[in-house]
Amino acid sequence: MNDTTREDRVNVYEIGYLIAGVPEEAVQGEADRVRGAIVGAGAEVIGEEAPRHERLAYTIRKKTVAGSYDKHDEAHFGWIKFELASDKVEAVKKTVEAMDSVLRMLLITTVKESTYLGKHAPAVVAAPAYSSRKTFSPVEGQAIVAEAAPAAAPATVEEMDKSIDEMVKEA
Amino acid sequence: MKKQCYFNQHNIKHVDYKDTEILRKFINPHGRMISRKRSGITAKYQRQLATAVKRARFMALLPYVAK
Repeated sequence: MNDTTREDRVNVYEIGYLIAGVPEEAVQGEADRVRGAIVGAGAEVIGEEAPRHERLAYTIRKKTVAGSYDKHDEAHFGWIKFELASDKVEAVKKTVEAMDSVLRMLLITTVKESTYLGKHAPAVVAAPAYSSRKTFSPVEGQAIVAEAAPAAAPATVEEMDKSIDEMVKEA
Repeated sequence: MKKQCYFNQHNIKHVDYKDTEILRKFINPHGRMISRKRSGITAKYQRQLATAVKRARFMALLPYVAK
């Protein structure tokens, strides 16, 4: 019989967090605090990414001590993947959640191997606007939600004039 | 012609909520997920995709609704 109980089984977890409401230079310090809370519980870090600035898809409100709400449209998103005994993970979650600078966090169970493709993800091909009549093909290109920055904004007349001037100068 | 599963084609074993560029391929301009019938992905990856999209929405990396 296996003597490993359900409580002390070691699992792979990942914490994704949003840091907001702190100055840019203090973000890394806050990320280190999150890391410290995880490592302090006896976790073995497998992978992580330093917080990067993200424009949020919607406004997140967070209640302040005074009772009013702070609105956040931007935040720094970071994540850390670690191995930890399952009975300790709840305490880690509560610690990270309680941090003032952590706007939101997500704890998930995952696998040891890297799942995040990041820059290695298959290239997104710019696609024509979504149409319900067209056959959808995610490989060739697809619909991108309104929040996505346009890949190539039409050039203004001034920009076009400028580029023509530069071309004439070169010639 | 039968459509190929995007994840099988690119040998992606796990759908990660942080890969928002990939997730955006499978949501429409309103922020809703595209059906398997249209995307051609397998049931296994559709389930993984649904979880990933929901996680990304919670973390405000993707919108719940757009437009």
